[in-house]
Amino acid sequence: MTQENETARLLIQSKSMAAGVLLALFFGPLGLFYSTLVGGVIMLVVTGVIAVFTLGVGLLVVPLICVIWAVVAVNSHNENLMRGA
Amino acid sequence: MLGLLVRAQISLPPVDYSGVEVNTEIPNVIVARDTSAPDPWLQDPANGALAMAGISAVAAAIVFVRTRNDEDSSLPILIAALTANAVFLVSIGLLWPSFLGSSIPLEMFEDLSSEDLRLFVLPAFIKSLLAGVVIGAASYVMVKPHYGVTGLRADK
Repeated sequence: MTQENETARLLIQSKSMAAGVLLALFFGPLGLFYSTLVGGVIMLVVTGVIAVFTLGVGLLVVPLICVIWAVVAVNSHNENLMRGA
Repeated sequence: MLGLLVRAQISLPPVDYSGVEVNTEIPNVIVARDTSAPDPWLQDPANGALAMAGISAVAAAIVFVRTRNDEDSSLPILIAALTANAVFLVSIGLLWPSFLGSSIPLEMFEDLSSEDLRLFVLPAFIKSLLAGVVIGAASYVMVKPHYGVTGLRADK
């Protein structure tokens, strides 16, 4: 094992809750990419489906869902960091 | 020659302003604005698209400047998504007048026939989407080297 590998350490950055919420609120699924990539992709598809089937009216609830998802995802990410995962 | 000109100028007869009357009365002008009518700028969807594109582009720039060199692999994807969104909206905003005309209220969407949608709106939408995806992917490639991957990093 080399000296570099011995001194290697985990450097994981926590995510900002405020940034996650604001990005999800203003940019919807695109802003959700900050908190969770999978969630962002899923919400992007769901938003498209909602927009088509509700003729755009359903888009009003999308930012709300994104914000809730962002809060859960950021909390989960930061808790995993604290546990050392 | 110059002397002649000067002499000619001097010899001009004085202008008589005695018969001229100057009206110093300020007219009462009332500027009234109909506040009940919606702002035409806001009624134009193309302007809305361009404004949203600007907000998206500024957000992408702020995220990049504030988080550069962070160890988070989701940030380049976020920046790419915001950039793609900005390009898509700019493209829609610029193409809008060409396929729907400028300053069209949103109600006109209801009058669009399926043929209009197929011939004009859908191709423009797909072109804008492709432009957004291409520029977004390019921005991801450019931004990615500035970010580390979340996880192990050699600390020299």
